[in-house]
Amino acid sequence: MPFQRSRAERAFDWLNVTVLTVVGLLALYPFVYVVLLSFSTAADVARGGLLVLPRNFSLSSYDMVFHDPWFLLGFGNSLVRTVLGVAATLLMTSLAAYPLSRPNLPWRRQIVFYILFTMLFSGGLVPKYLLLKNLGLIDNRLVLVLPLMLTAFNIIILKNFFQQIPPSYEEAAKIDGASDFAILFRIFLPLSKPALATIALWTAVIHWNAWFDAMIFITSNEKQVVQIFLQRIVIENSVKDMQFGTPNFNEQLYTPDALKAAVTVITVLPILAVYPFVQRYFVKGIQLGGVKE
Amino acid sequence: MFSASPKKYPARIVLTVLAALWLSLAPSGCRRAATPASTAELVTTFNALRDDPQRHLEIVWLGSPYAEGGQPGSWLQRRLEEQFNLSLEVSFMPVFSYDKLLKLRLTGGQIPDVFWLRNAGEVRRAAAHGFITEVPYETLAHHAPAYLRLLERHAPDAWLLSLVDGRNFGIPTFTTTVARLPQTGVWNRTWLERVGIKKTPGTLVEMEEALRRFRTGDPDRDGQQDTFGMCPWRPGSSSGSGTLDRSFEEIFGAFGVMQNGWMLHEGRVVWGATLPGARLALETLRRWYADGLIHPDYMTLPIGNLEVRSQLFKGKVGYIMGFNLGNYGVFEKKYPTSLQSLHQAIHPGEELAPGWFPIGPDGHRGVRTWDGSIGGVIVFGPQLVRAPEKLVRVLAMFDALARDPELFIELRVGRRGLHWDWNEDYGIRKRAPYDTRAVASAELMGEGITNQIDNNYGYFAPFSAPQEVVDRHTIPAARQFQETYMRPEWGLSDVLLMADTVPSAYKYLHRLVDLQATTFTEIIIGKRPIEAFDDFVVRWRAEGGDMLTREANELYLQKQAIRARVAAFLVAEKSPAPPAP
Amino acid sequence: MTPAPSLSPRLLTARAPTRTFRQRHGGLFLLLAPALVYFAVFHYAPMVGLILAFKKFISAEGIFGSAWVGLDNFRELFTNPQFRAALGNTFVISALRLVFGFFAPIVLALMLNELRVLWFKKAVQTVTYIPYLLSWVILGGIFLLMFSTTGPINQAIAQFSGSPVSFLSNDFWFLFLLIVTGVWHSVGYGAVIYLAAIAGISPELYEASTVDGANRWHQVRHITLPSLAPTIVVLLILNLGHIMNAGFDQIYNLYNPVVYGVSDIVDTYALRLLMQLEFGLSTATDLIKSVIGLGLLVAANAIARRATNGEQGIF
Repeated sequence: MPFQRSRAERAFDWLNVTVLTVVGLLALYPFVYVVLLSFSTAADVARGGLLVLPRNFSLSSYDMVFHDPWFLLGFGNSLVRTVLGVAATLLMTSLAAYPLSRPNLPWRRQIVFYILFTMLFSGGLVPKYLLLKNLGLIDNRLVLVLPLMLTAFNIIILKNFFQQIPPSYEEAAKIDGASDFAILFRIFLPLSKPALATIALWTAVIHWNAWFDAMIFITSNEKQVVQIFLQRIVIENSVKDMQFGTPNFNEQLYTPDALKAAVTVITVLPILAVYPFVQRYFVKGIQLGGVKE
Repeated sequence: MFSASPKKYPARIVLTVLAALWLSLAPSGCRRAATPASTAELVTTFNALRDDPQRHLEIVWLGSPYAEGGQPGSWLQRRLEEQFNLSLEVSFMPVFSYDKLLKLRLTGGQIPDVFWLRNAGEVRRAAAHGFITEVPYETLAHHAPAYLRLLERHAPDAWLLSLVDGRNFGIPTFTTTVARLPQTGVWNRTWLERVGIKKTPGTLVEMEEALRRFRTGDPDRDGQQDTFGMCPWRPGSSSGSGTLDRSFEEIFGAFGVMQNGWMLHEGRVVWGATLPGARLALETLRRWYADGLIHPDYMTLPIGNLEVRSQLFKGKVGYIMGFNLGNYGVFEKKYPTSLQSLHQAIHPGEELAPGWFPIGPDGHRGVRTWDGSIGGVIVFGPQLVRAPEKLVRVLAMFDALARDPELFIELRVGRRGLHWDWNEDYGIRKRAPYDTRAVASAELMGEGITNQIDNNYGYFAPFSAPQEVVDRHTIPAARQFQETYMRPEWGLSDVLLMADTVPSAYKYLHRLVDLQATTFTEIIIGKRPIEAFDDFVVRWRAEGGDMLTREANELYLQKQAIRARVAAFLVAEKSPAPPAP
Repeated sequence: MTPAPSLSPRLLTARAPTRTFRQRHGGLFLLLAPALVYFAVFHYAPMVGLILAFKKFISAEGIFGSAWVGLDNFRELFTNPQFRAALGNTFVISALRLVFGFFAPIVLALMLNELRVLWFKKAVQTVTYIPYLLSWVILGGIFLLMFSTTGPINQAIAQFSGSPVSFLSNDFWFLFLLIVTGVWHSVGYGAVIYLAAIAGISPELYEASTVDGANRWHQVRHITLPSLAPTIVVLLILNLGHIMNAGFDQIYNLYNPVVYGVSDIVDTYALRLLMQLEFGLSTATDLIKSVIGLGLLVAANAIARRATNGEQGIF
């Protein structure tokens, strides 16, 4: 029921909006600049002095990306990897976080430490490579999904959320004889949508932007992700020697920045588009989606 | 708490299971440590064989990573296989991941038969880890004498690249134009004219005057004092490729100093930056920076050629150092992608002109050259000791390429009439459809649309054609330009070829180069006084410099000895000499 | 879900009948098993590589065959003044990032939470989350341009104070730039977790407090923040564990030799020095980082537990 706000509160509201607008603009501007570069000719970028709008609008950078024969395939691979990765992570993290959130679990502290330890200690790239080789995962699509399935960080965050769910829910379910599996899936997960959405978002960003693992572990072009192809496009079009000139005028010879900007925009947009879908889980009181018994 | 004691799940069992799992999966990277054969044994093994051209061999080949876009089954590969009766298994790693991927591959046990290493440091490390086999000088002289003769002529010091603890671990490669000839500077001639200077500056004093007028004379005619004189290459090493600091090369050269290299000074090998000439150069630069003759942000620009050039395009400076840019093609408007053309597209009417590097007060001048080799060593996996015929075949291949220029060219840039034609303006010019990057890369292994036979980027022939062949395939106008602006005697070369041929370089060099870059830059921008140079020299010596200098002097003597040895072996071979130039 | 067949109604008897370990906890361990196996395979198995920190690794001799050198690698690192400087810088920069960067997302989340207009709230949320998606390769280039002495920021400063600020070549200002841009980069992204946590707070609490006459400030102090406390504590502890990662990408793309002194961190130092096959030294470096991180994490966790009587904390 709306009620009269005090003067102080209204003043605060205005201040809040102002500050957040400034923050928003500051956050937005560099991206606007990148978009601007992506729609400029390389010559303009080399000349410098661009601020908000392109001097000469040009699609040449985007042209170069979309005409690359591997682009679409790489895009698809990245998409598949991201979707699989998010699904796998949500599933596995839930399975792990639930038992760890139960205070009566034997050896709970030890197991949490067991998991946490892996967050900080790593054997390095070479042993990891050898391991994946032994498992036959080199140049296998799963190599982009399996090693990233679980992180100690996600498990601990989700466990933390599970711990905050009032014990009455669980007790009620146990009275009805529900198994742990059922409790997890029918009660805890629906109640944890904001946390799950957050983890899904983080995981999606990681998978979508990951390129190092693909570079090392994927060797065939058919399975390669879009990030690698985009890097190649930039490098292949960047200046090498200009000794005797080339018959095809490659205007990227001015600077690769226009192309890099286009590549960045193409990379950022999909993951940006995901965010609004996730935002609806951050509405207050979402968890009371009716599991009252 | 829980009643039934965990008899069924004792901690012991759990731990055992985990341990078993761990051990079974734990990658041990174990291999039988084979004791490497002695030099004498290798000579016996390799030299005893004659190459049998009838015998078909399979070789796993990993060439230079600069073959971008290369794919298996290309024309070049088939031609090579046909010529030398081979089946080649080739693979390509993109340049930006090459070092990492190669390291993983080698550590994982997949060592190619033939592969390419960038510099002495990598060779040393690969040898230490057992990834490559020794290839004695006698073997090379026996099976590839023509190649060795070319090497002796073009890059006699290249042996330093493959030298590890007194033994030779591969075939060094050589380069002609790019490594031998110094690059020029690039002046904005229009700006010079606008500020009243008629001829391109030749001495340091003239250069200073020109830069001063660039700063104060409003050469871009926009009514604001927003221009500076020059912009150098950014200081600090570019990690990964080991490119050393090349900032202000021509200014240091004007005082007879090469900052990052070993020089002969009064009979001893010393590090350039510790010479008194360096101090003089720093004084000059300090003064220049304070007066605004140098772009104030030069040390913060992103690393690379492009950033320096873009200062020219942006109209911020009127002079930059050439690097890859200071040669003929750059200044010609007839090439649509030359620097000249690009600049004029942005600033119509402004003309760029080449310039000699400035002559200093004592008559010194120079910029960096590499004495014929910018690195690159072909190495062989240890498994070839048990399959020596493969090594012998590869050596025979190199020898054949060294003897036969036509074959060499065909295996570098393709067949004349099919892939390329001679063009008066361009020299070797690709014919359609090989003039598009995609096709050229796929068929010709990343030769792309560059038409160079004078560098070591070739995938199968990672060395240059002999100088006389290169000259024959250089258009007269370019030769003229080289005679005028790029005389080899104006180049300063490292007496040990490259800074990291010294054995302990891996331990100290980068640290010292960092110290140098930081100190010199701080002196130039005025953050520290010129006396900081003296402190720097003391510190440099104490933190590894003395050790490196000592090793450098030993290496210098060793280098002479190796050259003599190789010459002796060649004489002993009594093989026919290649066609006289 | 069939109830345990032969047992009498549980809740009404005074004595709970014994159930086997398996019956009481089996389900939980079944759920946990895949994760345990995963960590064993993908994380613990490769940890055998950590031995290399104590060895001089020669590939031909394998991991177990290579010579043992004990603490030599560590000695070599710690006697190197540049490494020690890098270690110090890592702490300083991380501490600064933590102090300024840890609370910023919380504040942002709270502020966003106070917005009434939904479309604006969503818009600002989305916009502040964009910087994190841009890589430092791109951002580095942009910031180097923007903050150069001839760049737009300094042009604006020059209007007011006359002389430009050397953001990129002055020790203090460079750190300032690092922190500010670092916070800017991650604040929107970091706020997401707090927004999620806030979304989980029961609205009844707020309604009840309104009835009691609480204004929004009270609500924040007495409902929102306490509800966020567990999440904040967990994130703080986890961040402390990661303290040795001071932002390699950012620093690598922004730094230059003049500011090596304050901005060279362990990772950038390692990159310049250890680009060759020096497995032993690079593993030793990683091990040092990991041990320090673990130490801080355990300490922070212990403090959290002690301060809240065993309630908060990760383990």
